[in-house]
Amino acid sequence: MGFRDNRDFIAALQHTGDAKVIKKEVDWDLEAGAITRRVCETGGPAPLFEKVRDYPPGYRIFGAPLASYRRLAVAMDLKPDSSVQAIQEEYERRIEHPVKPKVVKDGPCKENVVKGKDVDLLQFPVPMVHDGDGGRYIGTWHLTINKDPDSDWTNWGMYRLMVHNRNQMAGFFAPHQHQGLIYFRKYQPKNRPMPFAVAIGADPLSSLTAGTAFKKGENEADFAGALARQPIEVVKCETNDLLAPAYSEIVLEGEVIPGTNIPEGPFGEYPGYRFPERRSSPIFQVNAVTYRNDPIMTLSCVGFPVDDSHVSVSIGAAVAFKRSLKQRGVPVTQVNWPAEGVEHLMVVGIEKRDDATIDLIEQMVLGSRTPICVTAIVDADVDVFNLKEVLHAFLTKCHPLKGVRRHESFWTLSPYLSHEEWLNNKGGRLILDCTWPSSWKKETTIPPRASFADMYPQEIKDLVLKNWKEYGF
Amino acid sequence: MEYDTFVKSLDELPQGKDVDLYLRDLSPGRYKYIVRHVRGVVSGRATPGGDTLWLRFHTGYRHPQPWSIKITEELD
Ligand SMILES: Cc1cc2nc3c(=O)[nH]c(=O)nc-3n(C[C@H](O)[C@H](O)[C@H](O)COP(=O)(O)O)c2cc1C
Ligand SMILES: [Mn+2]
Repeated sequence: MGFRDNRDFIAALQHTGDAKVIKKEVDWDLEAGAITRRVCETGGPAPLFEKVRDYPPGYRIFGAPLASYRRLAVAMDLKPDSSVQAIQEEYERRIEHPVKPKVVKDGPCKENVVKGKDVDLLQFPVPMVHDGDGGRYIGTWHLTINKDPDSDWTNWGMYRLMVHNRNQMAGFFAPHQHQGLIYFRKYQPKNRPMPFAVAIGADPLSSLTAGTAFKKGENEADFAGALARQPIEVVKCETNDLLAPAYSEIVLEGEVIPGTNIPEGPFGEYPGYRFPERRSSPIFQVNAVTYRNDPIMTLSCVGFPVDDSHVSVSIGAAVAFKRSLKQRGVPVTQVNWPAEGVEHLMVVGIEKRDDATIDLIEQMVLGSRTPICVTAIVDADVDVFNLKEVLHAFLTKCHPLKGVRRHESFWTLSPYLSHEEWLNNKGGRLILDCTWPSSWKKETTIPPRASFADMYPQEIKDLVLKNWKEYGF
Repeated sequence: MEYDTFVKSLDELPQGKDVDLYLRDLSPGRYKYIVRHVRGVVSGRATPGGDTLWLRFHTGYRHPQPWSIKITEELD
């Protein structure tokens, strides 16, 4: 069973050596961010900052909650050293069986309730994440809840949120993201405020699904339940009808106000850069805050890989793409979105190449709303989870003229795009065909790979392996 | 008081006349970086009775020399 509570998750991570309590006082202003960033870059354990400057004892920050595959494995109740492939396959099995959330009357997130004028977002240790960011980000690892007014669709998404003042926030949500879709189609044109709830420090799999692209109309809560193999317990908000995970550390309730404009950003982002953009956002007016005693803020310090954004997006996106490929009849072996590829690289392994298969993958990549910029298609004998093999296949099998397909697409957070391209929502997508041409034959045309595995008869390999120590190695 | 604000470029910020700006209050403590929307007159040099105003570009880099601001009105 999954963790229904972020605190149980942290305890489990401490047990496996994947989280560490930091007792020394740290500053919310850059120090916690810098430590968390370094943890991501060195593959260290997730820090739980117990003592935060300017804040009372008990007000804590938990950094880099899912910034490694080990932590993801623990969140899914798998062995911490499970391979990416094993995690992915288990993820795929579980999401086939969505589990509806269970509405409960009360929950730990209601231990403290603050409404109206008393709301103060900075009562929590909201970090200044990177030096030069536009403000303090309260939403870096959380879930924003919105409801489609015309159906049963309740969306959970993770979209960054910056504190503007004590009871207002600014957010970054693109129109093609689901919060944007609901707001720009259903609320803004009618000049109606859009209710929202933001759950900070929910159980790890609820947060994971919020950062993962499911289809329009699909409720992320059902998939969080599927991954946890138990219903997510949700409780009604104080000031609107939205349901938030009952075990959340902090829940912010409010409305997005159309026709308002406040600045948001810049912010260090998942491709590993801070983009020189100060955006404008409608006001997220916070009308109520509920929280657990001794609340724990969560902090994902996104940037140079590998961090929470790379790990969580990598699993969900790969499984989603693999399932769509299978549904369309593509002979797919495995799909990987390597965390090191900052969500911009997908590797697709196929059983057997033919032109129609490459065309179909190309079409599906072009139709995807994910930020995928480069897709490498490899033969079945290349391990898509081994970047060394993928790079080798690219450098040796991708014909620079015939194997590369380039297409215009929509804008992504790609540092090479210009300001004009950003304004016009223009970007590009690249398909790299790293497979042998279909007409080439194994016996006569395809160059055999000069590797231990491929160059020697089995009896020689067995002999060498058997005697390896005897040779003196 | 000490504030900062974000600008695309230094030319974008006219000196010597009223401009509307979102300022971040840099007073240390729990409310550091809270935003104030104000009208004021900025200058590339210190202004008598004015407050310090640091400028940050949209990249996040801070301009090395502080400017100053004389706040004339709180906007909201
Ligand atoms: C740590 C993290 C931070 C993210 N920040 C943003 C963001 O600021 N804006 C955004 O549009 N997407 C962001 N994403 C990606 C979205 O959460 C992701 O695309 C998700 O699919 C959005 O939900 P939706 O598909 O229901 O729109 C982030 C993801 C993660 C894991
Ligand atoms: Mn969604």
